[in-house]
Amino acid sequence: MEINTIKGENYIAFQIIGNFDQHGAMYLRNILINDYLIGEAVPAALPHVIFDFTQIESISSSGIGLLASLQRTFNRSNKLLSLTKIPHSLQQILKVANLIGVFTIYKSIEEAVANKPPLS
Amino acid sequence: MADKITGNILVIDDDESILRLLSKFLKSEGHKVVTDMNGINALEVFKNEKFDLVITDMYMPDLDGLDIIRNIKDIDQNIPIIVLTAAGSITNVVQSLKLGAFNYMAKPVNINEVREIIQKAFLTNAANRQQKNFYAFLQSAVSVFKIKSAVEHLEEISYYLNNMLVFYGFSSNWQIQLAFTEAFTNAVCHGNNSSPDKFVLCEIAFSRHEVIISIEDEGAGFKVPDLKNYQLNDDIYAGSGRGIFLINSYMDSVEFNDKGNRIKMSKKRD
Repeated sequence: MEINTIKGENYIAFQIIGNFDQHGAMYLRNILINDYLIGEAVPAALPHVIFDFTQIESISSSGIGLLASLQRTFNRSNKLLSLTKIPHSLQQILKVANLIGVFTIYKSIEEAVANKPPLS
Repeated sequence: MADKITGNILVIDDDESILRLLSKFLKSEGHKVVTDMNGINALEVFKNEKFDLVITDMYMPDLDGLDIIRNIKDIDQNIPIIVLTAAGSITNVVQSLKLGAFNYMAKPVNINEVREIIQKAFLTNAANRQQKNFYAFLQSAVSVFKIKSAVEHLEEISYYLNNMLVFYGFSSNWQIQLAFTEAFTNAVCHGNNSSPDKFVLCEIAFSRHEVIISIEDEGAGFKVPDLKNYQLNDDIYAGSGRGIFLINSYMDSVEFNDKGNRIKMSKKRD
């Protein structure tokens, strides 16, 4: 898995490229902890984090689990986490895993940024 | 000359004049045609109706051609998709072909070229269907792999599995791939406890009706879960505990050996 990072004025978007499986989830978790200090809490400098799935090839429960635990961390820190361009298969998995209402999902990064002004 | 093949075609383009032109022509050729100017609406239409072919514009404001290919291939990997693109715009054409598009046509469309490419797409699909019938006589085709116990090898074995699923005409590939990923990861990380000295044994068996996948690790085994009553963790934000649930949700049958170190799961052909 590879990650392409897009930094905006009030957001950072991670484009997930390839297979978001156990290996990919570990890779992403390490980046979030080491490079962005997202661990038990979300730093104040990161008001809005977006995960974009335009180029995802597959996802497993490890990827889903990381997203779910991140959502909890973001909720606790009162920060925004958005998912964009999720494919049909991921939508189905989120429904089956009873997670579809847990995440804020947008059609595109632009829409996520436009519809979700950062929290003060 | 062979008879012309006709089918149900979904055409997606935000340019109404192109939709009108193609719709009129395709109907005159005997095809059934559904048109949509909005990519997101078109995906909903595709989910609810059986199509034989999709023609999509590459550049649209709400959902571009690449997104449409990804989503449609996610639903039906075997359907041919033809991409309409501006003349000279080759970058996204290459990407669309990599994603599984059958072919592309440059705008302004040439009606003779449309006819020719559509017939090729239908003939290719018909040949694929014949291939399925050809393999129907097989009682069983079995592949066995002994793989070093490492999640890094998942990509290679998944690639093989995906090719075989396509070869044997399975269209619901992502569900099977997901179940395989979960079982393999479980074998490596939990069964073999991430020990690099251990192995995972994978058996993939195709028959005319189903694919059966067995994955065995070299660990001590686990208490076999009660799959009939298997529930998700109450904590929806939990970082783990969904793997077996997803396997159980997407495969037609799932069973473990008594020791709990081998899972066997099957999925019927659509």
